[in-house]
Amino acid sequence: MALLLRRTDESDLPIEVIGVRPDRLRGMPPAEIGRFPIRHGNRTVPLAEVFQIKGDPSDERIDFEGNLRNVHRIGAQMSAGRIVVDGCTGWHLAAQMSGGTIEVSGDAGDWVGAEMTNGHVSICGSVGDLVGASYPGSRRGMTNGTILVGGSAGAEIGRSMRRGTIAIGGACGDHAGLGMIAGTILVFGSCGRYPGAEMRRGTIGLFGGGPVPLLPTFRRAGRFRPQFLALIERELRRTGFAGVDWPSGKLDLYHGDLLSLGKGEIWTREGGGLA
Amino acid sequence: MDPSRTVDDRRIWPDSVCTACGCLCDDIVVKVKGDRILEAQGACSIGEGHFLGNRRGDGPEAWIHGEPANFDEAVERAAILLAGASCPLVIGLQECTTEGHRAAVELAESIGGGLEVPGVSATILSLQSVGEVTCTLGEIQNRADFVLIWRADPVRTHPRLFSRHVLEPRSDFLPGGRNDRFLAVVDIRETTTLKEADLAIPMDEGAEVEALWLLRALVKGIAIEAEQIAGVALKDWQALVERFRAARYGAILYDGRSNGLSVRGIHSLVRELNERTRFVVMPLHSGGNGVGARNVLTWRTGLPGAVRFVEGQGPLSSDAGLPSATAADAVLVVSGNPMVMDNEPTTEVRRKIPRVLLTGNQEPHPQAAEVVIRTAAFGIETSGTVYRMDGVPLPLRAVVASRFPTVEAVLRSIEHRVRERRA
Repeated sequence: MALLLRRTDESDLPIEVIGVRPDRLRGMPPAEIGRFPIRHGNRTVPLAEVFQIKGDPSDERIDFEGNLRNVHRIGAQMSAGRIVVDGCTGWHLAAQMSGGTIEVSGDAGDWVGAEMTNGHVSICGSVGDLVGASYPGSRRGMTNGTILVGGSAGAEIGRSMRRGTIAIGGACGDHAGLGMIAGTILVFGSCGRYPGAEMRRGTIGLFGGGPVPLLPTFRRAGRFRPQFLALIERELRRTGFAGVDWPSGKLDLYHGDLLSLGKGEIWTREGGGLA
Repeated sequence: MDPSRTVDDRRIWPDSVCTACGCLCDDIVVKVKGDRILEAQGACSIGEGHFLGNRRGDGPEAWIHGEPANFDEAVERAAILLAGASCPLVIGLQECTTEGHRAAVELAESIGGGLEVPGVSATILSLQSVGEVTCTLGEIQNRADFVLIWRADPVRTHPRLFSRHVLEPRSDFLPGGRNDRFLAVVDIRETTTLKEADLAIPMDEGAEVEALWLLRALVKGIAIEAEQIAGVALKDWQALVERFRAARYGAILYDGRSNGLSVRGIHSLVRELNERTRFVVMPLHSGGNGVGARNVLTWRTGLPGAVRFVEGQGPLSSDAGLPSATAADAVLVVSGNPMVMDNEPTTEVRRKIPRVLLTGNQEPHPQAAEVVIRTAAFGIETSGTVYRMDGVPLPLRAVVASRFPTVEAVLRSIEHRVRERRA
């Protein structure tokens, strides 16, 4: 039986549920779970003050319900288990997570999966900026794992990411894959300015069609259908990433960013061209 | 020590600091009669406006809900509001001395709130990701034989920058002054600065990042296929890069309000140029003491742009923390115009949040906040320390006395009341 946490009040103050994760709460008696400290504004309060608690997390599953837009850090640093969110969450969802699964039926804020090292995150709605990104002053963003977003994403997704996959069903903002070290970003809607700026290696697929606003430090490398595409399509379909229009023909390949190593790849639909 | 002297009925203040722009000229001679400033010798037009526009503020010392109130009532009301909030936020801090900043940090800590200096995040983020090769204005003054102004108009915004620091001064290394220096200007508009340039490159609007990436590529010797970038022919960009290479000591100055990838591009370009020759970079900050706020925040908390204090924890970063501006339930605006805070989410959101405003404005709007407390005018009626845009601290002296307390005194009084309430 899963542990159900239902938010009952409607206050706009930020709530941070640091440590409320299946691997941490498993085996904890219900009274202790109710006393688990979380941040509410500038105070530390027991979990039971903000959430109505039902069930137990013995099967390593936590369900969140109610108004969660200002509930931040859901699933942050989680290492195992499953979190299911019915609604929209705040910032830092799945940040620094190292294992397990998180599913969100609505939207999520900035920093989804920032610096995550493994695990699977899937969001039906849209997300904010800096998906899978590195925190300020940090050298690496996500180093493994998968982030699937049904809707659109904001700016600087995959900043300094080292490995792992980010797939965005809708559009994405500016500077996707900024300073990317390696890994894969796929965007099925339109794309903001300067994707792949300072990328070293890694793959960015911009499959929204239409012109792609690339920097002058990217160079056209050819037009063909890469073999990896069928593999990644099959794998993402298997994990439930559906409803997007996968490109069927050849793709255009650009190499860059020549300022930093230049081994990165940007793939666009055939004849997409530069903006 | 009071360096002023009195001649007839006039008090003369030598070497006064002008806070009207980021240059912080410290050679202004201010002549005062009673509480009126008669003359600001040596000041530029902006500086003159700053000194001569100062008038003794009259009317009440504070307002609560638009009704006149005395200082103690207003401080009490502010303390109740801030101490009772669960997520208070302190913002502004540009027009405030370093002493005031310290008091603001201590108040934020005692109310368990956030503290944000608006408009510096891009510079800080680029500093944290690519670093900053920089220097003082004195070094540029003595050594820079090449100056690039990137999308800024200092002739208009920092009128004495060229004559005092960047272009005209003669030194042992540059005995010819202006004749020994080369000025390049890149901008999107026909600015006054562009007209003074030895090499002027007017480029397309919104194409700064392409241009910077192109310059970085040319500096690194990477071949570029395009013939025209940002509306400028490739050969013109190459001419600029030749100038970079010929420089013995180059300086790139850009608008301190620039954001995002442009700042990162400029800082990276300077870093890469240092592989061949000496180059430095400096943002041209506007007036006030925003640089000081950043310094104080760093030395008090370790975090330069935004910080928040949570019960039982050390200071936490809120650069990457939480959407504090929208989440706050009480806001203290320290010496700034609450309507033009640039990281304001929307005025709508902010309007619903109760606000306390400390202002040195001579005619503040009584309805601008729930509690409005008047303070001595920054730069004219306050003494303390201010930071020039290159990070050099300068002593600021009050040349005219004020009826109103300093920002520091008000913040300390509020903090005192907050602590009393807690006890």
